[in-house]
Amino acid sequence: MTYDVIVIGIGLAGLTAGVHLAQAGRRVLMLAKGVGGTHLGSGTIDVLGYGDELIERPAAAFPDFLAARPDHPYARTGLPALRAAAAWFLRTLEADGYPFAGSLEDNLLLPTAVGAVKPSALVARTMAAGDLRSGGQVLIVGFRNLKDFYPALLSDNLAHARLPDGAGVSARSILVDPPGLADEADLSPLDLARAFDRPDFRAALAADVRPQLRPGERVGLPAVIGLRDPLAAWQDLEGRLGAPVFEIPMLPPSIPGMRIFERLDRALRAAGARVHIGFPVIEAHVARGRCTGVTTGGAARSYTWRAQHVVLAAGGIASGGIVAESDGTVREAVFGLPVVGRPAPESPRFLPGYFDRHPFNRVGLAVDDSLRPLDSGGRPVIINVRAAGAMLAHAEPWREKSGDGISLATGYRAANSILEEPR
Amino acid sequence: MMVADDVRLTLDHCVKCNVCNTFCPVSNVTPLFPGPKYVGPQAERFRLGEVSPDASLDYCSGCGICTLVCPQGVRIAEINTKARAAMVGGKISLRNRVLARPATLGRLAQPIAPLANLALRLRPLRWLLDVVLGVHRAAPLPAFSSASFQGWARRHTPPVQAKRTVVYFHGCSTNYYEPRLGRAAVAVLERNGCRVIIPPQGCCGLPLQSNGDFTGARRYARDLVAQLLPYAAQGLNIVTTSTSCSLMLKREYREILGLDSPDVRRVSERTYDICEYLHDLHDQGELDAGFAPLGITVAYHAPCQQRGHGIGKPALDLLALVPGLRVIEMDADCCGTAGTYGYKREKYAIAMAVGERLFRDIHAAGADLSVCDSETCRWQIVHGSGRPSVHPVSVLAQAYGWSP
Repeated sequence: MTYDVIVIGIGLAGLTAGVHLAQAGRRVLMLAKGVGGTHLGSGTIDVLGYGDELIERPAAAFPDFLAARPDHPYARTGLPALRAAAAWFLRTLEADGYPFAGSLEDNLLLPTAVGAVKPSALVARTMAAGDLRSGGQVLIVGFRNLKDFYPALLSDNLAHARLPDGAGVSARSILVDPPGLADEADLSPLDLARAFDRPDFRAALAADVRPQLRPGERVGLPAVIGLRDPLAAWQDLEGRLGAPVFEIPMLPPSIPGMRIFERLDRALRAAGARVHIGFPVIEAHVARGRCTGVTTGGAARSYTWRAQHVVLAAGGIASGGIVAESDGTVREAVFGLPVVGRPAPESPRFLPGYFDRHPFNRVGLAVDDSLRPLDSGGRPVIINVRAAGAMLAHAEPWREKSGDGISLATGYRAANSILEEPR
Repeated sequence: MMVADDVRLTLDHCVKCNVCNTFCPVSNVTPLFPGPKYVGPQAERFRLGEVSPDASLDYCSGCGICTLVCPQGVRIAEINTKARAAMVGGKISLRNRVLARPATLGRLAQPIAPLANLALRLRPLRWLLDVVLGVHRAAPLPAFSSASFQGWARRHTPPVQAKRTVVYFHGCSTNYYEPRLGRAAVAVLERNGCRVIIPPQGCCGLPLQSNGDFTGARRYARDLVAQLLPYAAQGLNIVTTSTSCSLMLKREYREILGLDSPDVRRVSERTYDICEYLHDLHDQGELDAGFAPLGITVAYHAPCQQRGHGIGKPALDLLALVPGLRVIEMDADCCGTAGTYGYKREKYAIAMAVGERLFRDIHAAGADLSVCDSETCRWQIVHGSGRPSVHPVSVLAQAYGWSP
């Protein structure tokens, strides 16, 4: 059995490539060691939030941003690929009942769980009312026994924030007991999200919060407003409170990320892709510069899967796609592809300050415009292997707030580059 | 000093990301189980040489999904299975001892199958079983077959000519509850040029292992390995229709029960899930693809244990060879029953709640039939969805024109 494409990794980049290819009629096999970054991130699509300073208009900022960073993954895909990927993403999520708001023209400024202000281009409609640029008054509601979400910290920090136009944010907070779950000692975001699926929970919560609400306030809650049908749960809550409601992403597990994963996973299967999670690739087969297949481990024996193309989207150092050894050496885990951006042996890998621009943070794969990993001479190493997402070198997604956009754009571009080739 | 084992060492890779908790079918529906992360890697740190301090461990169904989705390779389900056995400490309830011995039950009940089945349908008796023993009165206990598969096998005349010889490990359920599946499997294998040897065989020991009786499970395991070893030693492949039992042979004897001998390895290396085996034949161009059209829609559910094999979903590829057959893959993770878990009074409602999404999706798919590789899952799916459920090989047999 030969597939058209094997996608390794099932984070946002792998999902994007896989769904796009399967929807285009290709036989796709997804192989993943485990579940990817969707469950750990904020569930927003952050495209470009910081260059040297905060970026308000990401699309417009592209030329200057890339002029200063000619090796950046976005320089390989260009803005049009990102636009096409974003449009595809919005369409796909909307079609499955979880619509997003926003565009590449304009970043929304959303509060984080600690009350910082984060620029995001595309956010779930359930988060959009958190855009602080719209001014007004914000009421942050927290749950007394939910760890990792402290509304007083959030609102205090927001009250100190300054928006790009110099305006401040007017925020206050309250703590409430989650109806029926007040005695849970170890309440998790999952427990709450499941509770929000129930109309009786939303009704009881709204009855508690509504009397404490002041006219004109928007209500911010941790991003746990439902898993089954979050859009309906959020609309219902807005109706019951009579005020705009928005979700604020919190620490993992990411409920908004789970919603994205669930929908893209469903889209994969609906388009006929095979999805195998818990299948770590242990060997790659390359002959004369072409990959013929990869091998995964199994209970009694290993299995080799064959395909015409491979999209490698196994993640960066945190996911094991790029492996950093304790002696400072770095390697790509599946094919042993050349890793670039490594600091010279004598020079420091890290700088003293936590928020410094650490040289080590930009290691990864160098790729051509088809996203094929390159050797030191600038030639593609394996002609039918493309790389996408956090494996790519020369980006600092956590600093640039660009990780989701890079995954979308490169996953989409890798797929298109395969679709452009004769079958 | 405890001997470090590979399974346990994986817990050091846990980064507390919570991915396992988001997928756990049990903690998704009940607060009685706080989730694999808490009960697994976190609690394990308090269990070094000690019994688990947290009894909620007993609510783990052992489905193994946590291990599959873990991005860091922590063998969460396996850690928990071992910890449960340590917690049980050989003190196993009468109910669990009964449920964990399908072969003994089968041997006792088969001669009086009509009577036993009638009795199991009597409400007062089920009430009694529930109250006295703790087997839930509504649990989908399978009906005993009045004739064993082994009995049929002894009378069966194999084809004169064969291209290859395989050994069929049918497991307890085929022998005592679903002999028709065994006959379908033999028909499909023979159609593909196999001479099928059906040796006497005992229980794999999985129900004992799941209920925490590792001593009993190892005894069963050693007996079964001894029964299958002569064939494996000749280089014959062992083909099975029971996906959770074959996972025992393939990996869990070694990984969970710690039976890591050359003999166990030899049997393990020769063990194939039947769809895996047929798929391999297909890859080699050796599968007879002369399937007659079946104009039906089926919902395919890959059971949790099947996904643990690491073989993909060969049933989907095989069913795709049948003309006119519309196959819809279910994306719900678990049917809930997890072997004997769903039979237990305190767990039946949990198992039904876990399966609810699958049952709903089977209806939504407009499926005439659901297809699933595991017997207890099929019984649960029939119970929960009200639709019939069969092994993939039964569908293939039908498409070959075989009739029972």
